[in-house]
Amino acid sequence: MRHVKCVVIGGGSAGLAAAIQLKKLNIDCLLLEKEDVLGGILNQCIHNGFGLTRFKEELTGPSYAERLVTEFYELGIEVELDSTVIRLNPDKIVEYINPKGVHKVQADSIILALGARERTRGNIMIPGDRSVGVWTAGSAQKYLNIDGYCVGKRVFILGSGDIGLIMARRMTIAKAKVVGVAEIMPYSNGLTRNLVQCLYDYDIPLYLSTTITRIFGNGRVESIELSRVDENLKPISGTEFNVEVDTVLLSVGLIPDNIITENAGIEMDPRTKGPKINQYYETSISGIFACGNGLHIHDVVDFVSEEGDMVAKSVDRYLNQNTQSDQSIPVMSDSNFIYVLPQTIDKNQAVKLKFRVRKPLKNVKVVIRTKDEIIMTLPKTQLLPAELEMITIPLPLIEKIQDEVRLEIIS
Amino acid sequence: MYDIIIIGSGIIGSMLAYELSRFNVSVCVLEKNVEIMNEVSSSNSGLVHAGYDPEEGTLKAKLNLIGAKRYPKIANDLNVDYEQIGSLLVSSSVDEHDALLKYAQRASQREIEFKFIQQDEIREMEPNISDSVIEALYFPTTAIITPWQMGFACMNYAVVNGVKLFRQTKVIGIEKNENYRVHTTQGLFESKCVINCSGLNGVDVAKYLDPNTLHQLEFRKGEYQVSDIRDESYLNHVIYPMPSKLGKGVLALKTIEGNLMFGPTSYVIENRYDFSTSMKGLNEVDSKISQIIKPLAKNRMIRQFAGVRPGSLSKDFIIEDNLGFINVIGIDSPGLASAPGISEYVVNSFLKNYFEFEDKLNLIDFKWKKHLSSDERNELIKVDSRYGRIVCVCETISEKEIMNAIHLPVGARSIKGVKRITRPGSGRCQGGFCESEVVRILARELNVDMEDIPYDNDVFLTPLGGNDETR
Repeated sequence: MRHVKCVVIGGGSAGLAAAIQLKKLNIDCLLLEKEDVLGGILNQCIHNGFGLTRFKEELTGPSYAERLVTEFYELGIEVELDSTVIRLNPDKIVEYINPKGVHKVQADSIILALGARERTRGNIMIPGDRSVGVWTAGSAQKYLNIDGYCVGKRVFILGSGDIGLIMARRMTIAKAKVVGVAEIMPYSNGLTRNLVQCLYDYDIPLYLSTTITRIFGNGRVESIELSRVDENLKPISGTEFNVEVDTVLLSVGLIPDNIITENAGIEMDPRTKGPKINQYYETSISGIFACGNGLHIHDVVDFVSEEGDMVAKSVDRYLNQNTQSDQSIPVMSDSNFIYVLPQTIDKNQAVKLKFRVRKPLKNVKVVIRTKDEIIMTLPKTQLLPAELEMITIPLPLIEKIQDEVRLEIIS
Repeated sequence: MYDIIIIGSGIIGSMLAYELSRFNVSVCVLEKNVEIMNEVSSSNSGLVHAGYDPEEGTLKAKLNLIGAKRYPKIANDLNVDYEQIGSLLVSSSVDEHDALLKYAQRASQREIEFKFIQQDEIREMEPNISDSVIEALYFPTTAIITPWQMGFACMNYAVVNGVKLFRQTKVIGIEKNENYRVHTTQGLFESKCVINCSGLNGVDVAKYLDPNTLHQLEFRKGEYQVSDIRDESYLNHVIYPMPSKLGKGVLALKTIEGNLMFGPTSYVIENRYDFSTSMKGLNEVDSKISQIIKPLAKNRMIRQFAGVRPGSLSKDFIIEDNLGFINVIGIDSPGLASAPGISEYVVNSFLKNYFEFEDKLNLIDFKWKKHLSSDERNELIKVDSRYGRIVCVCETISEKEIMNAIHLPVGARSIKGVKRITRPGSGRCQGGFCESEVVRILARELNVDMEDIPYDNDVFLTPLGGNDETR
């Protein structure tokens, strides 16, 4: 069996960054990508707004990808395209299929940069007819930006996450009538700039606290029933109204895509839907690391790539410095948080904590404590579920940590 | 001019075509949809029931038993999936003990293998069974199949062996002179005998010939939920609750592919083409399933669907011959399980009165291509590298397997057809990643534009499909 230092699974914004960084650290890796081109989902994101942090300029998705891909190829990193990983085993054997055969490779380390998939109608259980014309926003985006087909003429979008907002604008530019966007929460889940540039600029109405409760149409979608929801997000009877559309696009959340991770027996976090990691992005199996949207969902691609950079450094540490983490201090949080990453830390270096809150909060303090001692307090004028927050605990403060770290929000 | 016209290509029509293709008779099948196995047969539990359930003396009782006995050989001959995973008929209260005894007695009379099992053994067999289950009957012969795989395999075998299939050919009138004259949207077909196995439209088709027929159908909808769980140990058997007058109840089972499936509900509906799901129905599935197994996390659900079953008012199958016009109608549950019994019965009890059946010489073998193992795939990649280009990552389906589905003798013409034959779009992402690639491959292989590829009858990617001149 072939033996490599590191296998990177996934050639999107996380995997590419990781492979590039590995090469710079003099670690040879093999990158496996399931598509026939590198770049991942960026290739279909033809809008701009990418790269402000990483490249200090505003790029489209394909341009952002091109920067990484060009550097990747210039560095002469080994890549196998059209290669789908079907199995990962705890001994770090990676099994993959490509047009040359079914292969197994033994890796010293593995980086999972698996990306995310979109939640579907079946995931959120929208009842109604078995109509054609219900797509995830990303599928419609692929049809339009890659294949050149605009799948709808009168379109309704469920979910005001960024992809939904981007597609509202994109479908409008492609001459579809976007009748409206509904959001089950009382606030939008997209970035403010996208709300302004994609909805308000095109006079597309946003219905908050509203969801689709039924889809009608034998054959093609003919109409949908919308309902207002109460504070528990349950539809309120009597508030139904119908809208005639031929297409419904769903932008109802991304899920880290982890079939092979789960099947390998790697411990998962039900909150992130990604693997549990320590501060070195290492999963429950030593030598297997995770980053990007396959680990948790990001809002901005620049931070996806940054995780790729970080994880490469961890692989270097794992392969060359032989410093196993001797501690595993759990990171806990109160109910204001959807999740906090990493799930465990040690006390050997500064830690960057990443978290998302459950609902919008104004003028609060994020408190980091260990046992009864508060080690950090950060005032925040605003916290939004749509925005991933990051806090670094510097080394001197880390040393104060006892058996656990806990994040709390106080007003 | 044919010897026999079969109207409808659900599991009954497909099984009959398979059966008849082995004899020296000329047969054609008329199907109104773009794909076969498209209505009743596409949306059901996919079970070969053991046969203890139907009332004594009914055709259902008789034909279910024959069907269950014949399936293993048919599945083997056609190389389709068939797994005898066994079932548990569970009881949750002492009041149900008598009912269990009744089914045990029936099973015994019908020589169906069974065993009474108690709490500890049940839990050993099914770790995730509900705590409330106290007793069960175990039927080791209950089997799971994939309905459309079975139907497609039968019809492909039939077509390879001379049966003619006409799709998008809707029957609009039937008359009898010397022969039967069947008028369709694609012209006139004539034959000596006609078999009406047109599912939801069974009575309507019968009425073309006999406007005064007294047969009536009642349409029952059943809603299902499907999970993406691939944990082989979550469920090992089919779990049946105690049947009621509404039917077998809401079952829990795993499919051949390893998904868990829960359902169906049972409601009489007016519109026979109402394949819609409802919040009420889906909640009912949830609550009933939680009475027999431990609940599964909600976010594991990937799909909901409804099936419609045409039942006769007499609650039994209607299989009868009127001078060579053979009605096979009211085929609700256990229709799939009974299909080989029904086809055998139609041939032996009726068609033999009209034809001297002789075995056809030189039958051509047709074997279904099952899902590939890694070793098989590796070998095939050496022959054609497209076996190594994975299009559907969730289900590990390659470009070549999709091409094979399109180029079968009865191949896929639609996205739905590809999905049924070889599964892209059935997994976690529900086609989110691969659908456009499937459309592209269909368009390329059928040499049409992507916009002209149907999802289903007359429904396309864009609202107007290829007819859209404004694009």
